[in-house]
Formats: sequence, C-alpha cells, structure tokens
Amino acid sequence: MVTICNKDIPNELNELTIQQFEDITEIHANQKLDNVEKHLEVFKYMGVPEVEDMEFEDFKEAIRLFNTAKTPEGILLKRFENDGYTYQAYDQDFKLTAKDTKHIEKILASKHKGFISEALAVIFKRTDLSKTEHYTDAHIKLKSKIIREMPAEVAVPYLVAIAETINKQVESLNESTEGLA
Amino acid sequence: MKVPKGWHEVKLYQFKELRELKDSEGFFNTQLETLAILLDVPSDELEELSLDEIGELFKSVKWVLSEPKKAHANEVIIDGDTYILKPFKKLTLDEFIDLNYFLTNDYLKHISHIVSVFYRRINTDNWGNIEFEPYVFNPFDVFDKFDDLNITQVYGLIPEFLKWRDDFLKKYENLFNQDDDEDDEPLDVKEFDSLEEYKESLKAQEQAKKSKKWGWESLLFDLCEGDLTKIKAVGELPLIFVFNMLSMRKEMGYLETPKG
Repeated sequence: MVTICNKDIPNELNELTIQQFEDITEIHANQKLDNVEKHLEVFKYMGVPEVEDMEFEDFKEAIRLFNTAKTPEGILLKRFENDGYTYQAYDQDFKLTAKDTKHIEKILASKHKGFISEALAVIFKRTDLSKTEHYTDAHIKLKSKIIREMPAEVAVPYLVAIAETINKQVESLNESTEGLA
Repeated sequence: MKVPKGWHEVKLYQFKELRELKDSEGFFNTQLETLAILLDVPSDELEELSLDEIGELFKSVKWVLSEPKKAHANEVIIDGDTYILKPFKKLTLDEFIDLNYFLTNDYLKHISHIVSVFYRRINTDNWGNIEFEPYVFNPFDVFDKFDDLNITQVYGLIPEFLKWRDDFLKKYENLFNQDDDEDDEPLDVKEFDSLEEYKESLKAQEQAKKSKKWGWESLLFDLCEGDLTKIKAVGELPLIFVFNMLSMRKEMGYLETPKG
C-alpha cells in the first residue's frame, strides 16, 4: 500500500486484484496515450484523480512510490476453493498441456479485456468436471469471473511460466531449422 | 499416424490448407494445425500429446517451412485415367482467360482449379494426332478431382506458366493499355490549359478504367463483332491465333477497344 494525495492505494501484487491488474495492464498497453497520460489514467483508476493538479516533481514521486511494488516470489498456486468446488492447476509439477497451450495462445493473441484471467481459467480446472467441460466458452467465462477477484500475485508467476513455455517451443524449433532454405 | 517425409508426400488439398493457415492464431497453434494437416488427423487428437512430443514431431516435418520443389509432371493418373499436361502454346482463349482469373485471385487457393485446366485426358485421332479433352467443364466443378495429387507433381507449373504468360503478353503488349498506373492517379485541373482539355482527359481516364475492368469481356465482344451467340466459338479458338488476329486488326486500325 502506498499513500498518494493522502489516500492509501494498493500497489503490491498481493493487494491488487487480477481485475485491477488487468485494467492497469490495459491502460499501459494503450498506444494512444503517452507515458505521463498512462500514469495519470492509472492514478485516476485507483481513485486519486487529484494527481492531475500536482506539481510535476510530486507527480514523478507518486509514480516512483507506486512502482516500488515487490516482485512476486514466483510460486505457482496449485489449487483454490470457491463455492464448495476445487479448482486445480496441477498436482505434482506444473506443466502446460498441448490443449492448454493452444487455448491460452489464442486468448493471449486476441489481447481482449480480461485475457489474463481467461488464460488462468484455462489452467485451473474444476476437479469434478470432465475434460470436455473444462474448455467450454461458458465455463471459461465463469471461471475467469471468479479468478478476477483473486490477488494479482496469483497471475504473474503463471504469465511468466506461459511465456517461458512458448519461448522454449519457439527456440527449440529455431535451433532445428537453422540454415533451412 | 503417418508422418510425411517431404513435400513429395503432401497432397494438393493439404498444401492449400497449409497455405490458408493464419499466423495470427499464434506460434503454437500454427505448429499444431500444421501437424494436423500433414498427419491428416483432427488437431484434437494431437492435443493429447505433450509439448515436447509436439516439438519433436514438428522437427521431423521442418521441411514444411521451405517451399516445395518447383517441378511438375507431364502426366498424372487420377482414378486410373491418364491426364496429360496441355502445352501452353496450345491453350485456347477461354482457358487462358480462366487461368488469368485464378492466377490473379489467390492462386494458391485455386491451385487445383489451375491444375484442372492444364491436365487433360487425351484421344488420338485416325491420323495419330493427339486431341485434348475439350474445355467444356467448369474448373469449379472438377477441381477436387485433382486434390489428391502430390504437390510436387504440379507446383512448378505455376512459375513456369507465369514466365510464359509474361513473355507472351510482352509480345502482344501493343494490344494492352500502356498507362495502367496513370489511370489510377487523380488529375489536377491546374495542369491543364483549359477546362475542356481537363474534361477530355477525365473522360479518357474513365474510359480506360472501364476498359481495364471489362478487359476480357470487351475483347470477346470485339472478336465476335457484337454477336454474343459467337462468344462460345471465339473462346474455343487457339490463344495465339486470337492474339495474332488482334494484332493484325490493331495494325490495320480495325480494333476500337484498347485491351488490358
């Protein structure tokens, strides 16, 4: 938590929800805004529109404070409970399956609002449901709604793991196709 | 699952499916769909494999990232029938017009259509002359018959025909509009000495655009001298003969509509 304009606003990944993390990510991805505008929008979103009237030096300090959030430890949450159901990402070691990777890549490529929680919704599977049910659109939407309320520290390690998996796949192919006409 | 060893084991329909894959779905999805096409299985079946297995499988078909060999067969066999490649110089006007259509409208999607125009059954007449199956079929009705050919049997046909077509059109370039690019440029009224001159140029530009749009139709219309009942017969004429006649008419000043 940091105090800006006498208001306490969450900045740590265990304080922000995935929904907030997604909204902030979306502001930062908006190419129509320059860097200053992006930060202004983030502060407005976090409930401190007063930053607009700040001296520039104070504004810079507010940005610095907000960005002091610690990097999460990289622990991949194994499972969580909601409404009596268990949602499990993995049992022993986390490994993306081909089916998960296919769905996640499509979600990430579309970059639509809420894509982070949707990607996590593919990974976390309700233990009482069948393989087919895990991936239906309606079920993914429902799961992402639940996941959006969870802390952002759950999402970040998974985003890193997904990126690493896909990069590994690309690198492996690049190595094998070097010199191919 | 049978893993093909090279382009020589890839059918035309698979080649078309591969070329229609969109990269926008992401690296892994493209990899998965490519494998599904080459192995001729639904992609769901491959989703059960691990990422490492997918990676290894893809490495075994990495040749798919290069182009097929530009060669072609002079004859192919489909359902026990032999189809012979019709020499380019023996093409009729109709065949040439259709080939132009397919080549300028996503030729990879239409590769089986193109092949159906080139490869034809033959007959030998009483004097031993080869007669090609007449062009009375519509490539849209028969193209799928050619879908099971291997891509390497026909792939080289396209660049070879494109080169021949370029050379052919160059020979008859006086029949075509010379200033295609200029037709698209907007005219600036300030560059003209009078409003009449500007209006004339505008009219000429509009006419050229229309000629471009209706190029082949206006050519056929000229050749049948406005009698639409003759269009079929004109389309069946040998291409080279038609263009020679057009050149003659142009030189003699009988040809009214510029082509192109």
